[in-house]
Parts: sequence; C-alpha cells; structure tokens
Amino acid sequence: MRSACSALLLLCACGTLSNEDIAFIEAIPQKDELHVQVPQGDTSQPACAIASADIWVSAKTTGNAINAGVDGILGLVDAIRAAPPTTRDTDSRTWGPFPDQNHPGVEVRVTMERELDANRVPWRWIYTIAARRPPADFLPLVEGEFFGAQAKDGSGRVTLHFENSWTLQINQPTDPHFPARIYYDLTSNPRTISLDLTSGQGFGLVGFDYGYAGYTDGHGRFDYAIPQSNGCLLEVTAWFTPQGAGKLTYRALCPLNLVYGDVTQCFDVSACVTYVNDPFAFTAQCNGVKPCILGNPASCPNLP
Amino acid sequence: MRSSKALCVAACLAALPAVAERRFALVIGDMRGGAGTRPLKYAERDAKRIYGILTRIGGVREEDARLLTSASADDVRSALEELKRRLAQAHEETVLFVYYSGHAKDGDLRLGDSRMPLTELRDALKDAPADVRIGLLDSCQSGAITRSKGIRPAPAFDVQQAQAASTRPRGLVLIASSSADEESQESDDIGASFFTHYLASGLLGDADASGDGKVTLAEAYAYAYARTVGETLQQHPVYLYDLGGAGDIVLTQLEPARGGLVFPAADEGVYVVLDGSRKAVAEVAKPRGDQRRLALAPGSYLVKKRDGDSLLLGDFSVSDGPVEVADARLTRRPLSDDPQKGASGPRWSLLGAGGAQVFFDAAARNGLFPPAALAGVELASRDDLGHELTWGIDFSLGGGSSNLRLPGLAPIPERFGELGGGVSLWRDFDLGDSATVSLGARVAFIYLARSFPGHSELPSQNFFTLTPGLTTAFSWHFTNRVSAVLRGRLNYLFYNVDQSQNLGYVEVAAGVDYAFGL
Repeated sequence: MRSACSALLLLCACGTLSNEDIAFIEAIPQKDELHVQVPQGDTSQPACAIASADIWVSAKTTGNAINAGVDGILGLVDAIRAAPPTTRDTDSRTWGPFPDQNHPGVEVRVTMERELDANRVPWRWIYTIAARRPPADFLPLVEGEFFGAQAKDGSGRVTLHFENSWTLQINQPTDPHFPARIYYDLTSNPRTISLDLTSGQGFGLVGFDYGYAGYTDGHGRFDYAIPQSNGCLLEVTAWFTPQGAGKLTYRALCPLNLVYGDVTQCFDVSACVTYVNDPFAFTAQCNGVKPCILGNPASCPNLP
Repeated sequence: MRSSKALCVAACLAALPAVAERRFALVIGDMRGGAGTRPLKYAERDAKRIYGILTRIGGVREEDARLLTSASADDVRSALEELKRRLAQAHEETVLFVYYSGHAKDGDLRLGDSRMPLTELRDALKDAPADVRIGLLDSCQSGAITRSKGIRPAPAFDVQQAQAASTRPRGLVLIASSSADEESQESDDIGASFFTHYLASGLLGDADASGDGKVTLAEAYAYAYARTVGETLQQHPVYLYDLGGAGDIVLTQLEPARGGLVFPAADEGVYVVLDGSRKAVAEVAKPRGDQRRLALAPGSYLVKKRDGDSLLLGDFSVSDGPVEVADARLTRRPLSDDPQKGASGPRWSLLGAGGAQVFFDAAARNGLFPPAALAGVELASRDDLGHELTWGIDFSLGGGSSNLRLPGLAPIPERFGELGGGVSLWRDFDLGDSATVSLGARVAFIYLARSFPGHSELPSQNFFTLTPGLTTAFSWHFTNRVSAVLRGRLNYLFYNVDQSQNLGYVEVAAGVDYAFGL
C-alpha cells in the first residue's frame, strides 16, 4: 500500500521547478554580455569643419560584425533556455539532442559541467554545444570554459568551431573556416572582450586580434583594424566617451613591412574630426603639408 | 402521566383578574465541576435554552434576566443580590426564576472550583423579596435542595388547596432534576440533559395539555417528570412546593410568539425538533386528536419522527406565522439517516478563507517553495456520510515574490503563483454550542509557476504534484449559518526535479463559513 502511494506521488510529481537549473543557465554567457558596445553617438550628419571621422565610424561596423558572429553561435544556446534539461546529474546538465529549428536535419546537444569549491560555490564551468546530422557523430560548435558563479561577472573563453559549422552546413557566408576564440573578463572594471581572428579572415573582418574594454561609466577602448585599398592595414586604438566623442590613434601597416604612424584624431559626438595630429599628412585636409596639425587639441575629450 | 390537577390550576389562573407582574430570572450554566468531576457537555447550552425561552415567551424582559456561564459562586451571589435589590424596588407583583445546570455534589453546587451550598441557594430564594420564587436545578443529587418539610417526589404538584383560592400565588417552588441520591444524565443524542430538554420542550408548548396556549408550572413539571422518568427509567425529578394563593403560575405563553411549528391533531407520535447544528431544541409527544404547538424562535429546523423501521424527516422554516408539521410533509428515510446519529443528509457550506503557506525546510523555502499568501474557497457537505463526517472540495490561488539565492550569485528576484485544490474528509467535534474543532485528512494537488522579472535569460518554471495531508480547524459559530474559521493543514510533498526530497509544509488560514439549507 505504502509503495503504491509512493509510486502514485512519483508519477504525479512533474515539472521544471529547479534552482540548480537556474544556476546552470545563469552560467551560460548571453549574447549581449559578449558584445562589443561602441557608442552610436549623434546619428545626424552635419557638415564637419575639418573632416568626417571615417575611421571612428568604421569602428561601429567592425563591432557589429563581431557581434553578429557571436550571436550566430551563441544563438544556439537560446534553445536550452526554452526547454528543461534532458538529464540532470548533481554537477552536470544535458539538453537534447533536439532539432535545430533554424537548420532542418540538424540536431543540437548542449552539455554543461561545473566544479564546486569547498563551500559548494561553482568556480569553473565547462560547456559544449555540439551538433550533428544523423547518423553522423556530434561535432563541437562551441566549447566554453569560464570561471565564476555566473557568466555575467565571470571570465572565460569561448572557442567557436566555425570549421565544424561549415562541415555541418550551418555556417554564415562570412564565417571563418578556422576556430575563433573569444576571451572575456567581466570580473572587473573595465570588462574586456577580445576576438582572436589572427588565423585568417572571418565575419568580413581581416585577420586581427580585436580587443574591447568597456568601463562601467560607459567610456571604453576598442582596438580594431581596417584594410585599405592601397594594401595597407590601419591598426586603430580608439577611446570613446559614453556619448560617442573620442580620441583615436592609428598607424598604417603597409607592404614591405613599412609602418607609418602614429596619427591622432579627436572627434565629437557627431563623428566630426575636431583635432588632427598627422605627421604623414594622410589626412586629405592637410593638403600634403607635413607635419599636419589641424583644429584645437583642447577639443579632445579627457581620455587616455 | 399528566396530572389532571394541573389542568385545574390552569383553569383557576385563567379566572384570575389580570395584575401587573414583573418577572426576573437568573440562569446559570457551568460545565466545570472542579476536582473529582468530569466536565459536563451541555450544561451551558441548557442554560442558554432556558434563558432564551424565559426571555422570549416566559415574560422575562431581557434587562431583568441574567445569564451566567462558567461563573464562580461569588458571581452567582452577586447576581442574586443585585436581583434582590431590583425586586425590592419593583412595585408590581414579582416572580423570580433561578435556573441552574451544572454539577452538584455533597450538598454543594459546583461552579468550577468554587462551591455554593444548596442550602444557601435555597435560603436565598426563600428570602428573596419576590411574590413567587421558583428554583429549577438540573444537576446530580440536586434533590437535596428539597430536603425539608414539603418535599414531594411525585409526578405532579398537589394543588388541591389552590383550587378554591382566589388570590394570586405566593411562595416558593423548588424543582430538581433528580432526587438527592440520583445522578442527572446528559444525552449526546439530544445534546442536552434529559430534564432540561423535556422541561424546555414542555415550556415551548408540548406541556400545554389544556391547549389554552399557556404552559403552567404544574403542566411543565408534570411533563418534564413523565418524559424524564420515561426516558431514563432511573432519574426522578422532585419538588418542594410551597405556593399559597391560587397555587400555580403560568410559565410561558405561546400566543405572543408569532411563529412556531404546529403539529396537527390527525397525526400522532414523538417528534424531535432539531436546530441548524442538529441539536434537539424540543420534542413533541402527542396522541392522535390533540394539536400541539411549539413556540419556536424564527429560524430553520429539522423535524424527525421515528415511524417503525424508518424515519420521517422534514425541513421547516419558522418566521412570523405558524408552520404546520404534518406527516404528509415529511420524507421517509432509513434509520441510518438519523440526524441525531450524525447523518441528516447533506448540509452544504461555503468557506472563504485567506492565509499563508510555509514549508518547513529552509532550503526548500529558498526559491522553490517560498512562503506564499493564499486565498481560496471550500465547499463542504456535512452529515452526508453519517457519523458526523464531512467532506469538502477546495480551491485556492496564491503567490508572492521572493529572492532566489544561489551560491556565488546575487539574489535573483522571482515572482511565483500557485493553484491548489483538494478533497478533504473530516469530523467535527463540538465544543459547546458555539465552537467546533475539526480533524481530518486531505488529498490535494498543487501547481506552482515562477518567473524571474528582470532576468529575461531565465525561463519560467513550474511544478505539479499531489500532496496528502492532515487538516484541522476551529470554528466559532456566530449564528447557525455564519462561522469564523481558523484552519490549519499539514501537508506532505514529494519533490523530484533536482533531487528526490520529502518535504512538509503547513497552511494556516482564517475565513468565514456560510452554511446553506439550515
């Protein structure tokens, strides 16, 4: 009789109510947590006194490209937020395999493991997003590891296996053919995110080690690169205010290992150049006069 | 068993001219008898019944009546002294009633831990400045109060000398429910002591043997004596009768009461009238050819009559006018449906309540099952199953907000909702007339859902399970229909998502219960 009652209760007890599931989900980084956040500034386009800050404007394009690449992979994680784990163990969860809604014929499986310290506080999380086209075996698409109790204030790395997304034919046209790695540290101020694309091109970006640092007050720094039609590559370090004004320094890496720089520009929230210090007169308004200084350095925002 | 002499008294009284008269009453009920006694169950209810009859149809104005329950001997002495002062100030003819229901032992009334000698009460009555003093005692060995010259352990008053009198009665009458060496008995079936039950039934009208719409002292005593002895076979009421003048007095007048139940002459038998709590309020034992009327207070009543191997039952509502209780209006039911045995057919009631739910396990209270506020309704059917068992079905809604605290994480605010429902089976235990304690079991379902405001990354979660448990309640009855209820439930819950856990939780709620169909 007692066992029958227990069986009845067991059969009737069902649901997803789980604190531990919440802990696992909180450990997965969200797309916006790994986004490069470049201020949009004033979207109007007034006539600029010196010149338009085109190099700074390109930072937004670069940042969006990086964000799109991250979104494409981490978007797979959204599926596990909508479904309870398939299996639960004390320190691991597995979701799936379940069909990938965006790619017919593809199954996705997400596994997470955690390690706890002596106080039962999670200090390390390892997760893998894998996919397959049955009957083939699963291939890892994302392998992540981070440290801390939750992704939004932890640090870690994410390896995006784009080579496998090509194999599974779920890639975006601009995806690289090699693994890309994202390193992030959200534990302190500034929070830093870097994208290692040094193995080649991807996301429409040149091979480069992109770096982003965002401070809690909204100002930040973004290191990125812009290819030039003359074969040179502009390496840019841009500091910006929360409103979108800023100061950037770039140098040109040209064929034959020629390096020109550094050039300093300051710009306002309308993306107009307010000051130029250009030893090589790359700036058109310098009319080839070297060295070239335009505008007032006092117009530069108080940034490093 | 009725005394034909009692009829003569009524006739004599009817011939007397009307005189201004004022009546006073002290009604005492005490279930506690102190050391060496077992608490009585119905003494206070008995007192309230008599108080109600005297003030409604007994000619006692409410401002001239005192009802003492659970009082001490000193309280009784004080009340007597106060009534004596007021009697002394009265300019009309006066009548003093003193009724007592409770323990008596070794010559004393037992009022809790205090005592009042029977002789003291008798002397107080003798000395009271009232024209007529009537003492009515319903307690064990209460007949000791009549130990004096004039004792009459007889079925009816000897009123021969009164028949020729032309003056109004004056003097003292003491009536006790049992002789000095007998026990007075209570009955769970009727929910009263035998003597008071029959005395009350008689005063309400069944003792009106003359059919004149008045119940005299002689009629009431004769009726109560006959019914008490007939029912108990071992309890014999006694009296001390020392009335001069006309020698009898009208105790209740049925006519001024606007409503009541009328038992037509064509039917015969013993009818028991029950109130909304299925307690007997009166009986009518009538032969064919006599009509009886019970002057009942407005309300809903259930009338039952044993008829061979079955029962006749009927619901009646008394308001302004007389309501006829003919056998043809009663429904034949099996004996197992006897309302005094715990079955009276379903009596529905609806409880609306609000309260809280708390899990015992601190870890479970963290996010999974936080303390919740609940509001709900319960529909109950009493006496449907017999044996004073009640079943009920309930639903409740609740919820609240809390913070989920996980190791290493900032508190995560959560909002949760809960839907619950269940079926219960319980038994009511009466604590006097106004209070009931219930104990029983319940099987319920519980559905919980929670979401995390400000955390769009976190999915909503839910849980459903069955929860067996125990239920208890304390009810205080303001009226037959309306009760205040304090309810507690102890539940078991099996949780199996993260891990298998046996959890317990308690629900406490307060509400108002409304009974239908009384």
